[in-house]
Amino acid sequence: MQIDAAKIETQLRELQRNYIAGLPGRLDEIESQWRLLNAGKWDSDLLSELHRRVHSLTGSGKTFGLGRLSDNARVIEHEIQRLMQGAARPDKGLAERLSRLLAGLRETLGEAETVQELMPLAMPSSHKKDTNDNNPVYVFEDDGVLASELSVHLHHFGYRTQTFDRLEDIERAVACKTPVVVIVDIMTDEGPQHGIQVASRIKSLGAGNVPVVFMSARDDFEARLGAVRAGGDAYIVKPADIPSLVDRLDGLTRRGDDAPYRILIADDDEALAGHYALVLKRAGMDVTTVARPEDVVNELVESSAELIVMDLYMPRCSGYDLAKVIRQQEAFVGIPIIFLSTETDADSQLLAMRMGGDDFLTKPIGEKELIAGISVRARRARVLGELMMYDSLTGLLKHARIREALDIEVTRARRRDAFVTYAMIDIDNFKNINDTYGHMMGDSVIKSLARLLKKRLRQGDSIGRYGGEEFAVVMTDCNQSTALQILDAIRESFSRISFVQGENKFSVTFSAGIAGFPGRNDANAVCYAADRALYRAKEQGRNRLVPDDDTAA
Amino acid sequence: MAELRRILYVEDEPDIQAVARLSLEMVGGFEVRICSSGHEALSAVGEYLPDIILLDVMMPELDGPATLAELKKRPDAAAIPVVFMTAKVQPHEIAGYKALGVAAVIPKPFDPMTLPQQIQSIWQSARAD
Repeated sequence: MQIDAAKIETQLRELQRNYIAGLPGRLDEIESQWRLLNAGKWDSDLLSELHRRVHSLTGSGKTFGLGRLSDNARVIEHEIQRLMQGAARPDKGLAERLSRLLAGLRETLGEAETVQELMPLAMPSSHKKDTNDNNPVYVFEDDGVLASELSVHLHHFGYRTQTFDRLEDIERAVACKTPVVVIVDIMTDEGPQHGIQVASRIKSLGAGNVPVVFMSARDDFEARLGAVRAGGDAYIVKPADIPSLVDRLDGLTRRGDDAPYRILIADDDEALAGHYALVLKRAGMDVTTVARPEDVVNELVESSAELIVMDLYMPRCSGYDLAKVIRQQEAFVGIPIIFLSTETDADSQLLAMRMGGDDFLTKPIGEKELIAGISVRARRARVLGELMMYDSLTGLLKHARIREALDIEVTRARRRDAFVTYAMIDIDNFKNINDTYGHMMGDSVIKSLARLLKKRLRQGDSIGRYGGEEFAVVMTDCNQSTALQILDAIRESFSRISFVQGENKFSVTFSAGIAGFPGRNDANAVCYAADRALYRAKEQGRNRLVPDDDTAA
Repeated sequence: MAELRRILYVEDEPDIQAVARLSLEMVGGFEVRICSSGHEALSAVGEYLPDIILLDVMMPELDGPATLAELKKRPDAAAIPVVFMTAKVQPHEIAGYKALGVAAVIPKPFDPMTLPQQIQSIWQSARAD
């Protein structure tokens, strides 16, 4: 069926307008109900009615692009749920807090007014992780032995391959089913540059977005340049090193569902900040705005922003100072800061950069320049950040980063009254594997566990390689018993993978120790408890999970 | 071959109803019947015979789980896959819902452009089971 996106967008906007127009009335009702409850008889029916109304805002706000409304409503909903558990009237403090929160809800309507003008709904750009996993990798390779080797190896890392050695065949296949990646050997029997022609044919077939990886025996500049000009996304020198090829494939296939850039705007001029935010949101970014300098660090944690845009002149605290404060926190040493200022004076700009701010955009700035300026920098920051953050073998977070993730998640959980569970995972008898089958096999085992964890855990969870054969996992909003279930299923699956080397087949197991917040009250204690639990798991005979049993959680 | 055509959507919030209708009809090309309450759904399901039922979890009177329980008691409806739509998605809640016999849980807010795809694949895997 043909989808008329423009028509749908128009209708969605119409719905959005209606929704927003109805909001003040709904808030009136909510507030008057609360006043009634607060002043009159404490009535549980009335309370649950109030709960329902607030809940419906939680559920609907985001649908219409009003994220703040949803978020604030959710906080209120949470409070009301707590009230519903006790039969009694809340004490004065709690009642006042709720009144304040409800009043705050109305303030988010300000957001609604601007949204109505400017912001499209979360629309087609919002890629979902689609069926990438099911689509094949096409390999254009006329050397049958090499092709089948490649296909065996890639299969091991979860890629399905299909091999072609004739242009017409791969053309037909691309027309039927779009591959996730095409790997092309540049030189074939048809000629030294045949692969380049193949790639451009594929690109011209409406598969222009499909990443192309070139393989070649040549490693000179001319050859690489030729590949780039033909639209190659990666260039692998033969004989291909499989782990690095897999890394490239992982990187390229993830590209389709790149998360939006997360931007934090700090500007005391709320109208202006709101305007910048809308412009960037329209370009598909996730934007948080902060008006008060003292809130910036908190918001950085909350929004996990990747890049900060800040005004150079703010009351009480200049952009320079704020940049210094941000950089004092280890977790944010690497975050790029872009100063927005009317400053064109090179000296001030230099000063800003010495303070750790990374770049300058000069006000006034047009929408296009703003979007381009920010997205280029955000992209660069993300690529650099990934190099700094991720372990090259597994693509998981590095040691220090997973500890940071735990710190941040425990802080968040404390504020939100939520659970975080932390697991330390260690592959059993890893040294034997290395000794018996060699380091390549050992790497392959490590990589398989990494892939399994990535596949099975949720996107919001953090997974890190702690070093050697040790992994760590931070599971947010997840209590210890749920985590146990999830990880135990992963343990089962992992033990069923069979690794093959020549004639030999073997399987591998892991042990894990699990601890969490609020069972332990800070990140260090959680980490220590998980480590001890892991130790017990090893002692008790491996291939098992052991929870932190010293706590009630 | 059977294909997913009729969807019964149960939701008390008129604004969400409208977005869902738009999404499922225009984007997905499905036939949609919307009910505003669990009771209404229970009386509609027998003659509408939907291929799949989408249930809001939190509704006044008969909420999602209660409606589901009623549906499961009825021979004409017990086999229809049911999907919960909810703003609250904690992993343990999802597990709890699944234990009730729900085919899947879709978090709100849903994306109107991809909801039909999601439903389609849920329906397919529910049939495969």
